[in-house]
This record gives sequence, structure tokens and C-alpha cells, in this order.
Amino acid sequence: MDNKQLIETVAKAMGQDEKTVRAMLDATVEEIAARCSDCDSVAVPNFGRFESVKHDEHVETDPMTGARTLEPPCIRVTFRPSVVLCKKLTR
Amino acid sequence: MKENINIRRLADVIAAKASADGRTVTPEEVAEFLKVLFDTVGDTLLRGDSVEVDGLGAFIVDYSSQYGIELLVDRGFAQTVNEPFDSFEATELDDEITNDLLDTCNDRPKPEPVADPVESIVQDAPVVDVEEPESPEAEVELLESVAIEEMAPASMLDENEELASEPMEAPAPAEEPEHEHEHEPQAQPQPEHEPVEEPAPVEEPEPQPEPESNPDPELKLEPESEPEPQLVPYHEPSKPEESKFGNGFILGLLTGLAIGAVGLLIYILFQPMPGADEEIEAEEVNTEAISDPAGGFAD
Repeated sequence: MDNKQLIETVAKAMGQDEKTVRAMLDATVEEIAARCSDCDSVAVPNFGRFESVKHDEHVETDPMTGARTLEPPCIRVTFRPSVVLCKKLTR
Repeated sequence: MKENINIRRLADVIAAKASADGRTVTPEEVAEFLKVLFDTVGDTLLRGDSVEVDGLGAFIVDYSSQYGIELLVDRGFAQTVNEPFDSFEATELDDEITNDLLDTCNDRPKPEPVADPVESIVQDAPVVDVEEPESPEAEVELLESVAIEEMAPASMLDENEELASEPMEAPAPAEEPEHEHEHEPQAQPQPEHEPVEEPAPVEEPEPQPEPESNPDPELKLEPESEPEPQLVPYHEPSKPEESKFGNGFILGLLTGLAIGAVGLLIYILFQPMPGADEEIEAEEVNTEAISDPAGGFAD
């Protein structure tokens, strides 16, 4: 399911127009990104949690050439599904 | 930072962001939207399909992964999250920059905060013997005067004297252990190590001119310079101990040599001479021959 199909499905389920749903979806993604940028985690009940992990700067060595590169710090966002969703998935 | 936020708490913010172009979105609508959205995504994933969300990424079902569901983060989303680190770039390191050098940079101690003026004054003060009952009082007076000068204007000195004296009494006992640590290494090695005692008289003249050069009555260094004469008694008994030990050792050595010499002399004088037994036996034979001159003829 791509983004357009998702919006259509949600708009149909809510009885809203697609523009409003698209605006709310964009605002939601933007807010999740803002919270993850602050190293907070955003929990969605019965779905999962968006976690952000900050990695400090580090030196990476290329095993082939031996060249060393100082990598800048970064925040990586991961998704951990909820137990309910995992149980439904395993069934 | 490191806070777990329920997305329903963000309904107000999302509603404010979504309200634009003459469109008004209420937090209740956002809460309903969030519920429907993630229920739809979850149902789609349970059917085994993947869901792609613009600006966020793609949810895929991967049974080989740890949780069975993974989020492939969109590049734009990653860039938005890492906006604070946009000024950093990956840099290739030269051969001159070794790992040891990087470790030293990481282990470099952070600059210490500016020392408390009261503590610095106490540390700069000359060595004071802790056992003296007058020194803590003098320290408290000195700390009070200095702290009041620096922290309060001159007009408020009289008013704050009583107030300042009460909080300053508390840190005074905490500072005593510092002096103990400072004095212990000096007081202990004095009786043990002889060379340490020599610089002690050099320290004596230094604090004496200080009270003369500082005519300020506020800097009461006199009680702190007094304990130094007490260090003298620790030095004086040690010197006689040296001489006693040296004299006793020499006297014992001479006595041992004299006893040894006497013993050797006695041994030489009373030692039996080699061959004395043979001479004695020859004399006995001669005496027997003289006493019995006919013995040989009788045979």
C-alpha cells in the first residue's frame, strides 16, 4: 500500500476529504520527526514505538583500503512494534 | 530528552499544524485520525503487505528480523531528524592522526570550574598544625573576613556579619580534613626521613615576614604562623637520636674489636707449641734411662 492508497483508505474510514487527511498525516510525520530529533521516543498505542538512538562521532575503518573516516554524530530512528501487533502477526 | 511521549498527547500540536488554508482541525479529529491511521497500517501489515508513508518511510514485514516488522526510514525523515548535526561532515583522517592521539583527545580532562576563593585562600595559607586549638578559630575568622569582603559590599558588612558567621561555621569542619591531608605527609616523614628535616628551618623565616608585610588587620596570619615553631620540637629530638645512635655504634664496634684483640692475644699466648709433645716424650725417655741404667744390660 502506497501513500495515496493509505490516504484514500483513511479518508474513507473517517469521512473526511483527502486534503485534510493528507495535511494531518504530514503534520503527524513532522511532529514525530521533531520528537525523534530531540532523542525522545513516540509511542503509538497498540501499534508500536518510534525510538531514536544517538550515536556519537566515531572512526570507521574501511577493511579493504584501511582508510579511516571520522563519522559525525547522528540520530537513528527505529521502530519497535507493540506486543499486541507482534502477537497478531505471529498468529 | 529521552522522554517517552504518547502520540495522543501531540494531538494539539498536530491539529495546529494541520490547520491551514482556511481548514480547521480539532484535536479530537486528530485523535480519531491517528487511531484510524495506525489501525489501517497494522491491518495491512498483518495481511503481509508493506505500507509506504511519504516523509516517514516504509513499514515492511520481515520475519527474519527481530520483531517481524521493520521501518525503512525515508531519507528526508533521516535528514530532518539529524538537522542538529548538519554542520558535521565525514572527514577522512590522515596517517598523522593516530588512534593514540584520538584517545588522548577523548581522555583530555575537562577544565575545572573556577576554584572557590575561600578554598584557594585556605590552600595558599601556610601550613598549620591541626592539633593546635587556636588554628581552627583563626581559620574561621580569616574565612569569614575574606568571604564577607568578596560577597557583600562594604556597607553591608556590619549587617551581614552575624548572618555570614553562621553558614561559614559549617564548611570549617569540612576544611579541617584538607589540612590534615596536607599536614600528614609532612608530619609523618619528619621522624623517619632525616633529609626532610633540613628544609624545615628554611620554611621558618618565610611566614615570619608575612605578618609584617601585611599590615592589614583582616588577614590574620599570626595565628597561622605560630604553629611553625612547634615544628621545631619535632626536629630537635631527632638530632640527638642521630648522635646517640652513631656514638653507640662506634662504641660497640670498638668494644668488639678490643674483646677480639684480647681473645686473640690469649689464644696466641696459651697455645701449645707444635712438637712440644715429642720433646716431653724424649725427656721422659731420658729420665727413665737415667733412673735405670742397668736395664739394657740385664737383657
